[in-house]
Amino acid sequence: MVKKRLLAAAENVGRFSLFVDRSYRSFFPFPPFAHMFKDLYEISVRSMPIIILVSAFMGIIMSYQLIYELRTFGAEMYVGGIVAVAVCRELGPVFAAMILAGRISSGIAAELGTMRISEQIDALEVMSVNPLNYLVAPRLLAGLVMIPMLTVFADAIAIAGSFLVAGKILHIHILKYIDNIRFYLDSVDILSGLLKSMVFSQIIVVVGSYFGYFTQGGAEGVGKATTNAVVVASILILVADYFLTALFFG
Amino acid sequence: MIEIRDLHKSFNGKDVLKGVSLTIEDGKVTTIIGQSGCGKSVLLKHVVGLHEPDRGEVAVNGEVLAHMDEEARRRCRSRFSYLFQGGALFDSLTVWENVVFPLVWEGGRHHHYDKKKLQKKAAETLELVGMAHVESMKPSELSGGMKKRAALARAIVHNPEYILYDEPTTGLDPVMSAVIDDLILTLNKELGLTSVVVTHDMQSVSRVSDEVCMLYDGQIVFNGSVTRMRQEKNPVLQQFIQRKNKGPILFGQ
Repeated sequence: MVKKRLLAAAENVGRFSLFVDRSYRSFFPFPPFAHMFKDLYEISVRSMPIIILVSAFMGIIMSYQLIYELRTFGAEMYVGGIVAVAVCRELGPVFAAMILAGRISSGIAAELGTMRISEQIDALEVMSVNPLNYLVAPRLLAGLVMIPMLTVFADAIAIAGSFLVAGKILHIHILKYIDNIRFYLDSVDILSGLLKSMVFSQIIVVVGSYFGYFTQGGAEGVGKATTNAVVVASILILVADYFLTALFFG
Repeated sequence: MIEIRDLHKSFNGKDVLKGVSLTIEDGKVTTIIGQSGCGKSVLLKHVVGLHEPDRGEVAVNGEVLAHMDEEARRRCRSRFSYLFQGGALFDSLTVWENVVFPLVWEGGRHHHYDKKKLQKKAAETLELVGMAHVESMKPSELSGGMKKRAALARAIVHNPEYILYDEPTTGLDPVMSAVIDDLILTLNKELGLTSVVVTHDMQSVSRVSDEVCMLYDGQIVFNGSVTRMRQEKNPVLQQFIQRKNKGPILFGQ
């Protein structure tokens, strides 16, 4: 039983690796921009409300917690710098990626899964169209462009949310708050966050595509593919985050 | 000519095809009959390379599919069309975009054509299958029969040499089934297309077939004309075509 499970896991890892390899090789001929537009819109504009909501609350709550703790040492004036560094390096990219794993990975898995069970992917192959070029490559590109942008947006919203609390409780002027952020925040903090979000964007798209592409077993299979996509994408994001953090700051 | 030689295929340890050999002559309508789940669609999918055989091979005009490189396989596939059981129309596209899809993505590459010309071509092709004023609808707005006809329009738009039909009349009312039968015959007689029809609709078999073959227990148990099929003594074939519940074919087998 254990051996069988190990073999199945090894088979999945192998199949996933081959899928990733084939997906990136399928980029050429380059998908037409018009074909990518729907994915760009779906990933960016449609994800914006949830990103705004979560990022704003993240900044607000962090600010409350930090002011409460920093007051013990009389260091509450540093709240802006601490929030900005934490958000740009870590929380912004990871939170945004986790939300998008729930939204985008599941959406891609459900769409491709439905296409698989209704033979639409077979239809593409019969018409000599590489399904990976048609379905996966545009989404990989759209994710690579839009998810880092959303992350920058999430960072900004979180910092603004944090200022709302800090400004109200500590009566700090916005310019002083920004000055504090500029003192502590380095360009490497922002860049590392952006690079992380680029890697996360590929995980979000490729995992959703993988589970959707290999869906089996009707509507139940689509449900399983969707759940698996979100769970695996979330785990891979955290694992990748560990390695990237060790790479940049280790 | 399509030659299927000693084809074996199993899924999860279950043998579905156990040495199928069959020759499909050019310009004829060949129907493959058999019980549900006996491997008819699996056999059809091997013909266009959607499944890789465990053993055996499929050759199109002497060229073995498995030996072809990607480019040759693409060229070979462009000579085929496949009408899927549920139509397999792309949900995200309108009916007219679906119909002209094989032209826009000819050879696996996206081509830019004038939108108006494409819409005109789609409307003309849809008219051939008896559909009008549905061009801008989405597949989800069509009935089952309309989906199949729209899929048939997509299958013929790029003038293929071979059309493979996977249960074209299943789930359709008798009138619509007759319309589809007529379309299969028209495409065969007027355009000279070679057709392979997978079905268990015996009325349709009698109407359209030049050659009939029956798949049973992973093997071809009969191959011949409709007249020969009726005269054949094979009890499996007779039970199937006479719609009897007693005989060598067991319920649930």
